[in-house]
Amino acid sequence: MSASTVATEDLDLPPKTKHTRAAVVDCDVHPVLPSAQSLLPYLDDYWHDQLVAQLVPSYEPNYHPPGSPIAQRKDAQVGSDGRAATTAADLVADLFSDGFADFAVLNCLYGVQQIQQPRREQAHARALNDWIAEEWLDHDARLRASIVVPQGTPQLAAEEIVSRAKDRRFVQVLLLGQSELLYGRQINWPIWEAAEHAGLPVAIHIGGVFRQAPTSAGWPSTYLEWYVGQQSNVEAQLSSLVAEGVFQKFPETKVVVSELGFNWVAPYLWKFDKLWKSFRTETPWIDRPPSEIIRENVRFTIAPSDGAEQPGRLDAAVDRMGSDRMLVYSSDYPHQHSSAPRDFVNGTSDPALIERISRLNSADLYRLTVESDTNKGE
Amino acid sequence: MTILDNGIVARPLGKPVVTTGIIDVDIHPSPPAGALNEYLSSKWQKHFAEYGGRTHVGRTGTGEYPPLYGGSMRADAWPEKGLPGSDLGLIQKQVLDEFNVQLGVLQCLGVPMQLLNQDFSAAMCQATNDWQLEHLVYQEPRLRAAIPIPFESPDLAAAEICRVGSDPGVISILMLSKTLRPLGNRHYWPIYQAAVDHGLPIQVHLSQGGGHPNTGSGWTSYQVEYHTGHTQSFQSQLCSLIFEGTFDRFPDLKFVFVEGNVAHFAPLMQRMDYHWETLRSEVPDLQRKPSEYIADHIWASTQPIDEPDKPEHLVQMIEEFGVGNVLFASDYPHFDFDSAAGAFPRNFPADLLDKIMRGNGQRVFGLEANPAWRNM
Repeated sequence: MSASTVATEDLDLPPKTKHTRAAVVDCDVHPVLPSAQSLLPYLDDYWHDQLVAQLVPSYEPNYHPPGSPIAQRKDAQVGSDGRAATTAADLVADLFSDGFADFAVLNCLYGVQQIQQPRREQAHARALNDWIAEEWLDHDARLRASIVVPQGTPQLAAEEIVSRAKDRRFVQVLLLGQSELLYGRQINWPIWEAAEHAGLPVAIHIGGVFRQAPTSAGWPSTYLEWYVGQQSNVEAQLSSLVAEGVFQKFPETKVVVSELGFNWVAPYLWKFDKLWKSFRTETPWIDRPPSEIIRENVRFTIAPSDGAEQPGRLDAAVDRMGSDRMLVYSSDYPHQHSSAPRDFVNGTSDPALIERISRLNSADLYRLTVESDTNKGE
Repeated sequence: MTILDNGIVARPLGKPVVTTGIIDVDIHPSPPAGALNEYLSSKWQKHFAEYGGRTHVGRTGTGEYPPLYGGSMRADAWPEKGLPGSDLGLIQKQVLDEFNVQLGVLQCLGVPMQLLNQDFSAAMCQATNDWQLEHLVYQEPRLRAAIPIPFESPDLAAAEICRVGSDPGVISILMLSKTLRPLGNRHYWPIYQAAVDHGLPIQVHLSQGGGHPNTGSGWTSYQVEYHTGHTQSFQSQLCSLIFEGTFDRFPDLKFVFVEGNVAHFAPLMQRMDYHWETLRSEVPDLQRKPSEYIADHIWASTQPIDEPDKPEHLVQMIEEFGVGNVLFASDYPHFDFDSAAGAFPRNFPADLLDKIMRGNGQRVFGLEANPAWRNM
């Protein structure tokens, strides 16, 4: 199977009438797999029997340690195990109760990408996507999801994208911020090819495969150090995508950097542009400043805000980034941060920027619309 | 009586008495759920409840590879409650009594040594050692403890050796085969000084983690290559210890490699000698041939026993490595347990078996026949 088996005519947009408007999409929401047992019904007989014989090992990642303050909000609906976001009912009740978001994109972080064995990783990714479709997407029409892919074997990841994209409720591909090989490397191109063919953006979300130390200086001692420091990995991923020419080879590619902040982007772009001027003969296919390529192709979710809700801070960040098109709304539910997702409006004095972040900037990513009495924003 | 600084009162243990029975250098106890809490401060209990035990593996539960069937345990080693290795009665019945083990060395693996937060690692090693002394060793003097230490922070590790290393219940120091730096690196020297000061050998047990891919060329995909590869890390550690001159600096230091097989060390040793002849100018401070250091400083345990088609090949390789440098290990309660009664080929030489089962261990642990101890 190859990526080209997805015909582009299958990807027609929802009908546009003057009675629809771009939807408010919560671009980063996390359903939690309650336990490894939950996947058993979605695995074939071989894997089911393997897991049972192995006492059903869990691949729950420690990106958000379950007992720690970041794991979930104190006011979240919880199941009998005390955990939030383990059922669609709980998540939907919390997420849509304030009437703000029209849709939410589920990024399930269960750690299948950390599985060493390629075929086990593939089977788990498949099962997890089936679980997401049946237990979440079937439950509520406002839910959309990212495709979890066996990223350790790019060809298998591409196959999963091709087959899963037939279900239009899967609107994105999910990759983790730390990978074994940088995403721009040609060995990873099957993923970009398949995503582009399917018309799907690719989220690069905080998390990792831990095949090597998660920083270039070694192993952080604490969770706090790891979480704060992961922006550096995604800087490396963006540099790789640009330098290796992914955006030239697959020009429709859209990347959504998720749960990794955005206030660091401007100085990163300045440095990248400056060094590109020095070294551009080494990468002649980069025919314009890297910042232009990134501004055009990359979006950033706004939670966690890193403090952007303080008056003027969001305006300053956007001004420095040089574009008001790069930020998209997210709640990062159920994770707890020092400010609430919708506090971001306090960081700007520009109502148009709030509109951009809330609805317009994600419109070309997911092409989600809702019925509307006006044409505002179309 | 020895009074430990945490208030545990040590029983008046003597040295282990090994006469006609055997020595097993690899028995894995497992603290029952919550058992370590009473040895942890409330600060660390809270830390564990909130953040768990963070290691080089980016998950909350499983290790690098999922356990084999049945949690990688002997199916008959599960007590009525809890994990295999958590019930002293079962350890006594299935190992000590069954095979007349007069000295069984406890190696409590778990994750305390590989926690990324080194202060937490030190606290967990301390708690593990206090727990195993109080609940296993003082209850059953045939068992003695190899003490886990936070080896990536040698200052903390040396402090733990000094804290508990003089307790007669402690027979060795426990380290792991996967480390951030190779073991000969001077980073670890404070540990070796403390080991020598306390007269304790260092047991290095097979492990996962460590902070690097499990081969020098990246990660393996499948268990079969991963587990086969454990001997490769032992090979790297052996080369490092020898060529860094560890044993010139610490002439009384002893290492026991546990669960790293035996046969593969023989050709490696010969290879080291061969190339040292050519390149010795690069390491002019080495005082002896690599194989001579190995004879005096390195022991290897048998489990999982090498199984060549011709059993005599195993005997030959042990003879080449050193008949005095091989120890018996059972690896109870793990799935690849070696029975002292059945693991060795039928035609295995009796005198060699005797050395492996008892004599060599007496030498490593300083238990050579001594009437004063036998009368205790």
